[in-house]
Amino acid sequence: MTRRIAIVEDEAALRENYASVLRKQGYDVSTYSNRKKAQTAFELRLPDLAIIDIGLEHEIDGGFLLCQSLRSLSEALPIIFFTARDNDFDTVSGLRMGADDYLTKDISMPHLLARIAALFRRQDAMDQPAAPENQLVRGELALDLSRLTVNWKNRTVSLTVTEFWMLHALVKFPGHVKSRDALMQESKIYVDNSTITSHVKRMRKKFIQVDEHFDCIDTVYGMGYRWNQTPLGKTHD
Amino acid sequence: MRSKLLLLSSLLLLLPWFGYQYVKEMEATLQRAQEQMVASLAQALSLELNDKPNLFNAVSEGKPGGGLYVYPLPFMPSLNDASLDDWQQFRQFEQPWQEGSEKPYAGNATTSFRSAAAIPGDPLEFRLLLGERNNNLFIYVRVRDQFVVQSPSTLLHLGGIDALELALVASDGEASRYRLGVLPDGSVHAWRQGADRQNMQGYVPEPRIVGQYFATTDGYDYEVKLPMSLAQRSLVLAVEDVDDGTTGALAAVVATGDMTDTRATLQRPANQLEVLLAAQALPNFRVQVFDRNDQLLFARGDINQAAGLELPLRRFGGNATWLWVRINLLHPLYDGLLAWFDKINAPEPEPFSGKQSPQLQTALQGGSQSGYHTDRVSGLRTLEAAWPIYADGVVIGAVMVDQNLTALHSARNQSLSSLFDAMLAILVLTLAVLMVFVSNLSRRIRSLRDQAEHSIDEQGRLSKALIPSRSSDEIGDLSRSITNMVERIGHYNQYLENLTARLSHELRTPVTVVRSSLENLRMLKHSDSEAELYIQRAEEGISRLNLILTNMSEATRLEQILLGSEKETMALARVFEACVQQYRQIYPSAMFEVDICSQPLWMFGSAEHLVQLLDKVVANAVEFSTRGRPIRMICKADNGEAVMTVSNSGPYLDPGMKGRIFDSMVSVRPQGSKGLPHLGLGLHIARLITEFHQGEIYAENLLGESGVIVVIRLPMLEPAKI
Repeated sequence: MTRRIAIVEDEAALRENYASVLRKQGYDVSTYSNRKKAQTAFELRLPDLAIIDIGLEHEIDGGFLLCQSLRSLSEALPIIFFTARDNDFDTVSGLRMGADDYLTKDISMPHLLARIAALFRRQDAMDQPAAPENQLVRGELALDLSRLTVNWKNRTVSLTVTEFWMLHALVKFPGHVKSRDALMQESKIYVDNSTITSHVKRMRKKFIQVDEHFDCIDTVYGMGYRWNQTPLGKTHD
Repeated sequence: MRSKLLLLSSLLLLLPWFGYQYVKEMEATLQRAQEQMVASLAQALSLELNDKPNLFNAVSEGKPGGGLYVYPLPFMPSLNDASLDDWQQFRQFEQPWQEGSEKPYAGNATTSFRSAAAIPGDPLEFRLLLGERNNNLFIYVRVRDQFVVQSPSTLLHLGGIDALELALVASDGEASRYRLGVLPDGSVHAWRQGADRQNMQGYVPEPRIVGQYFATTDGYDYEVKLPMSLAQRSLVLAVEDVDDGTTGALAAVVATGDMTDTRATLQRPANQLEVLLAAQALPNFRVQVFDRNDQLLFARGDINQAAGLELPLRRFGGNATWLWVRINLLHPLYDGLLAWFDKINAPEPEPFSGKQSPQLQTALQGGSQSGYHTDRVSGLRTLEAAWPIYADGVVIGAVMVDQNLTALHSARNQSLSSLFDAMLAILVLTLAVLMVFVSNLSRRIRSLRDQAEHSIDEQGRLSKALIPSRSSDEIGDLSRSITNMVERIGHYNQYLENLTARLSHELRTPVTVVRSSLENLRMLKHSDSEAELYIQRAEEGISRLNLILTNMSEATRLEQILLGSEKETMALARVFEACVQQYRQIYPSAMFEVDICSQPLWMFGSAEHLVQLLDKVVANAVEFSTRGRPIRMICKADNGEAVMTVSNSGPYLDPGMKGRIFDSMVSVRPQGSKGLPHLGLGLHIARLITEFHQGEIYAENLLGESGVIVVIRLPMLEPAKI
């Protein structure tokens, strides 16, 4: 079954560029230039994945509104924000709206494709029982590599695909310091250092929401980050 | 501003000047009133005396060729004051007598005699004045004599001494001669001579003749009083001079006439005048009547007492201190000032010689005049009015009425003092009020200037918002428009700072279009290697462009991130140490000399951003440092602040750039020197982070060698809060 991807983007050239790449990958792509058209189409039939620009024609926050209505139509539908805006505030807002990932337009085509594939893979994996060979367990932390889900002390921590890849890079070799560049490579994004910092911060916050004593992601100043299995001097429970 | 105000307000000093002019004007008016009063009094008196020629006859016919003239004295001379000062105002009428002088009526050799016993070079001479008061005759004799011989003992000697002789004919026609002797206490006694002048035993004391004697520097003075009746018909006076006390030989005699003459009648101004004028109550005036030879016939009143206007002296009241200041400081000052003013405004003293005043002269010629006169000796200023007296159409004399101007003068000074006091108070008050006003004004302007100066910092950025004044005047208006202006500059600055971010945002979409197109192109799987090469070059260019765009928005993004950042308690020294270790790895070719203090340097901040800050500064230092020279990094506490310095040898900073290298889009790198794009945002980001931590960052040129040091000062936590 061909996956159906919806691209909502007001820049025609960009829209068609991405559409043609995705079509070449065998996806069924439908494109919309504004929120109204997209919303009408979505109400008739939901796509399998939506890539949404935030600023749509005259609506500055059109993408956010669209995301909200789309999320209300389907809980599981993967939504990717894809925008030229690279500020923290928009990222946080977008993710709070229920998007699965927030990508800037710097991202290269292969990276975008990898994310889309990952999201579809996760969706597929959700329907099947958890396979132990795809589990990566580090103490209290359990990563399901096919479903892209994270458990901390048996509680789900909802991370975006980017964050999941970052976390994966960190925990693959606990105690090893991962530089920001390495994290970027692993999570298939290219951003500047301060954006990595805020990604890591967000990730920490998500863990802290689940466990307020969480302190496993260490900052190594001037170098990068490190997964710290047993935080020094801090024992809980 | 204040000094200019002082200068301007000195114009207020003109007020006292106008006050002075006004009071002077008033004084002149009062003087004219006084003048008219005096003139009308003179006129009234002259009318009284008109057509009474016999009043003047006794005198008018007596001179010239008459007997000695007797002046009517307005006072009773004192006989025990050892001086002739009370005769002061008559002194001008003194008559001189001397040896050999041709006396007008004498014509007689016996009036002057000089014997061989006289010492040469000591001529005998004397001055004589006669006055009448209350039917008493007063004789005033000033003798000039170098060798005074007087009674050697307490006993009265009448012979062989300097003596006075009088030949009198009394009202009953009895002629007698008296010799006057002096006791050592200065009292004068008279003896009536008997028939034999040589027989002193026959002399009879005459108690009615009394007087005083006193020595002067060049002789001696007599002041003698006797009843007028004794000399009613005739009086001749002789002064005998003895130069040698031991022999007692008579040296010289000077007499006013023939001692045997019984018709040397005294000339006395008619007593009727006194009777007549006594009826007039004339306080506050001096009245004088002159005959047509301007001989004084009658005088009444003392010029020193004739003050004219009777003005009550004002009593100053009020606060004791103020009163003291006024009386002891201000009023002497005013008096000095007024005296000075009067001096420069005073008229030339009238050319007034002798006893005649111009007023009197005019009156004696039939006119009438009033005028002012300043006494040369006492400086007393008087107002005089003279009126002629007629008989049968001929001027027979004149009445002169005068008053001094002292009262008017002091009244004027008094009102001027009050006026000056008030004006001084007004002046001081006005000055104080103006001073307060101007001080307030200049304070407001200065505060506005300070605000305006501080609103924009050294880098030309808006540092502090102005508080617009709420007052409605011009300064408030200025303050508001400056606030407005600064705000607009602020907006413009903000626009400029955001420009890069907006630009990068706008450019990102077309860049993405190009890049995605290139990627699509690549996916077409060209076999053409040449096309592949161009695609690769285009992609390289695009990725570089992308890097630029990312850098451009980095500062703005950082600002937004900082807004949401949370600070925590952290040890700056540990972070610094960790960073240095990384830098050694990242820049293997650079040498680092590190000095970290042992204290942890607790502060409240965001470690990640401080690391980012150090990254930028160190990257900069590495890039500019001379190869082979170490980069020196220091972290220490200084004055309660944590200080990090990064210094490198290398090219100096242009002094003009020192403050600006931390600004957005400012780069001192030579154009096109490196492959990587440089937007001059690194140090700008460093500054943003420093300011986020309430610290400061600045760059200085090194003193010793060519190089630059960047100093970052951050506030530390107070020990209590750690």
